[in-house]
Amino acid sequence: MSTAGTATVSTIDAIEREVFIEAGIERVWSLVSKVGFWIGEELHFDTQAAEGEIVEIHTEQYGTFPVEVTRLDAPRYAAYRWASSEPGASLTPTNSTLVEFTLAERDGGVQVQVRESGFAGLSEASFRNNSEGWAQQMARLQVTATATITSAGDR
Amino acid sequence: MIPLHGAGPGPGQTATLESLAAFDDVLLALADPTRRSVLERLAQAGEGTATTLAADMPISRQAVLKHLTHLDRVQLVAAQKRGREVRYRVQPERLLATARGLEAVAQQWDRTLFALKRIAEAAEALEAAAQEQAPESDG
Repeated sequence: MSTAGTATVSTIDAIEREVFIEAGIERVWSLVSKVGFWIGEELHFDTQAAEGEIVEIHTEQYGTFPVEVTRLDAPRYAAYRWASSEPGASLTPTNSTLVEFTLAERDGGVQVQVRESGFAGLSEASFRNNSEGWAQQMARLQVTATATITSAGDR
Repeated sequence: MIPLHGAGPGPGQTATLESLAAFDDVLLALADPTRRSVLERLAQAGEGTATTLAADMPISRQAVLKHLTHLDRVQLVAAQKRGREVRYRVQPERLLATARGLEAVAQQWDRTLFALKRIAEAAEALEAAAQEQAPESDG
């Protein structure tokens, strides 16, 4: 049974996914607080770093990724910045995305939300101000684009 | 049904690399609200020139042309020269591919979260089993 399916693309520039884990919050925190645990072929929980530190995660297949620990607020919130599209590149606001894990205790377990944002290389602040209009515009564009493809196919 | 890119077997994040590289220029191009509205006007009109689009918008023909050129560069529109004028049409493929790219990243996170769930719950079950054993050593 997969419960990792309650998904929304909340805006075009951010992705949010959630999962419910039947375990204590301290245990889940001990996993999501390991920097870059999601990078590579397998999950790995061997790298600990403090807020503000930048750690290099090595993968066999995809090269090396620097990951910055943006914030660790035990046991509920962990945020990292990584340059997923450019292995080996140093982190800049325009080449990296923000990955945030939010933990909430619920019904004998923990609801974990992950949010990855900044795909367009926008600063967080300017994106937040614009997110509603942006989503609406994209929704409209996608409808229009689909209609265009459909009508082109009719010819 | 949305076809997925890079739906590999591993739980970790790997497909992000290809999909991000493929769509960040599109997202960046669409980050400008004026450029988005140029694209939207063009989509509504079916096709148009810098002149016809500028007629409906509070910006100059030059500004519209600048945005069209950018949109052309990232293949969100296609330009076709007809005599002295250049006509533009929306190219929906890259826009839809961008949406699919985001979906691929979302699928990666699904796998990562599910693997995280499995690992955390297995560790929890191990600890519970160990605690059941513990009273025996007390007595």
